[in-house]
Amino acid sequence: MTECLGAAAVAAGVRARAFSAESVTQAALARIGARNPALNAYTDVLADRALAEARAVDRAIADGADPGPLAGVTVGVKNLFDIAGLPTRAGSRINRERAPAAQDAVLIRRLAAAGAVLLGAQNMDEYAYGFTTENAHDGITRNPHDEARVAGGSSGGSAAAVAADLCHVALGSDTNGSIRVPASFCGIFGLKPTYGRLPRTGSFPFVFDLDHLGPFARSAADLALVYDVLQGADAGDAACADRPVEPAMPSIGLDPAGLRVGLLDGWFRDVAQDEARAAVDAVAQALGAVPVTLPGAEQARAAAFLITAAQGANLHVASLRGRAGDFDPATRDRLLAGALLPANVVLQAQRVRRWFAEQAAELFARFDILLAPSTPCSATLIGQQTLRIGGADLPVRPSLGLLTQPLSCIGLPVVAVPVRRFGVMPIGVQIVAPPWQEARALQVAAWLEKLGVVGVV
Amino acid sequence: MTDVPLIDQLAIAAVLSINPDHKPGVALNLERLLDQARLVMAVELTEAAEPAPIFTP
Repeated sequence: MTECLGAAAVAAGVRARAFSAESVTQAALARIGARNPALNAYTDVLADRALAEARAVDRAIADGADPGPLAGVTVGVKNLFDIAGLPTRAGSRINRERAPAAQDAVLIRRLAAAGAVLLGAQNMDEYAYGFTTENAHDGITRNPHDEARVAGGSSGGSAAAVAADLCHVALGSDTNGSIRVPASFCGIFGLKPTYGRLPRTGSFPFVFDLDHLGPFARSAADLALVYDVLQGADAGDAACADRPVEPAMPSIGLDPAGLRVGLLDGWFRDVAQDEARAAVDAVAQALGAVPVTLPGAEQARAAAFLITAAQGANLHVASLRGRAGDFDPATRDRLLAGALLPANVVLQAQRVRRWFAEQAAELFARFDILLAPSTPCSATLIGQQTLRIGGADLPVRPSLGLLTQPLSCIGLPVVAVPVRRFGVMPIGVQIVAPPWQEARALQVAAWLEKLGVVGVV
Repeated sequence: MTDVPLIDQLAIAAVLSINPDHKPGVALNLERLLDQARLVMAVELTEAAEPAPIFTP
């Protein structure tokens, strides 16, 4: 009945009593039961809690109350978000020994306050350090479009669940591309907001300087709807900006004519395969974009790579000393190497961020939106070790973020959109805006969807 | 100079003991990091380029 309805349509139907939140939730749980054993998108399905929340929404409506703009919309969250009663595992074995969370993460509470129904926690790379969701402890999340391929990562379970309609929207995290890469591979929309826009309170960290949280959805309008509910300052996250809510929904549907759009060249084409270039070219043509260079992208990617390794390692140094054997071997080796980096290198990497942010600011004086592919290629095969880029064979796990890392390194807001292609695997494009201009990027994404250039297939 | 391999010297400095079975993987990843380090160390920065801390007292 509600299969493949978007979040806004579900909420409208529930509020109009066309169908109940409970029936929507029952249908979603049935789809999870049918498809999750193969996809492995969820690590925890919270059926009792979900049904209780759905019935509460239905009761509120029956009592004449307004349950909120997400009434009856089903959501899932990457398993690094605190969920009351569950240990926050963050894809690890070690964290399962933690005490159950006392309360939900702030963003889950905001969703619940808007009427959303939490279905469960979703698979990810261990401690968010990866781009493929090939998790040694919880298994591999498979791509709904081809189960022989990865879903991307590290928020792979969340993206796969949205793509397979196992929830209407989901929350993920993005330190180096962990929303945008799986959105690209699974053919859905994802938003990495400006650094500091959404509070991370109640989520397990990876790299304090680079961690962002954000939503996935099956349309740009649904992404904006959820994003607006998530906004607002929170004192629990020192990096969360004290900014007012700046709603994106009023911009949805407006013609972005007049915006100056740049198509990033140089690094952003050099490390992309032909299919990624074709995808971004299709979007660029629709928007009348002109080629433009963002100097220092390769160095910014390097800075993100180094800061991630060093801060990630330091966060886990006690476990690396005492129980290295309990990590996923791929994560362990990367973290141990990060622990060995000289301070001089890490500090230089931090200063390169500032320098690169100034390069981007100069570009945004001349352009309102920048475009780049989300990933160098479409979804890789499960177990694939190398990727051919620019005549070289690069390791898959660290290389899938080549195009996302320079942008998150300086905290720019990005909407990842799926370019409409048929008979082939999906691939995404990044719509990049200046800091705090998420609404502009979402406006462009929605317009491209209206034109039929991007959208879920 | 010393005959101790670089990875072991760095591990001593970082107060880490690395299981010998893990060293090949760690060495491979360290090599990748040092490749990236060369890129950032080659960037000429002015004194105005601060390290972007977010610590709030």
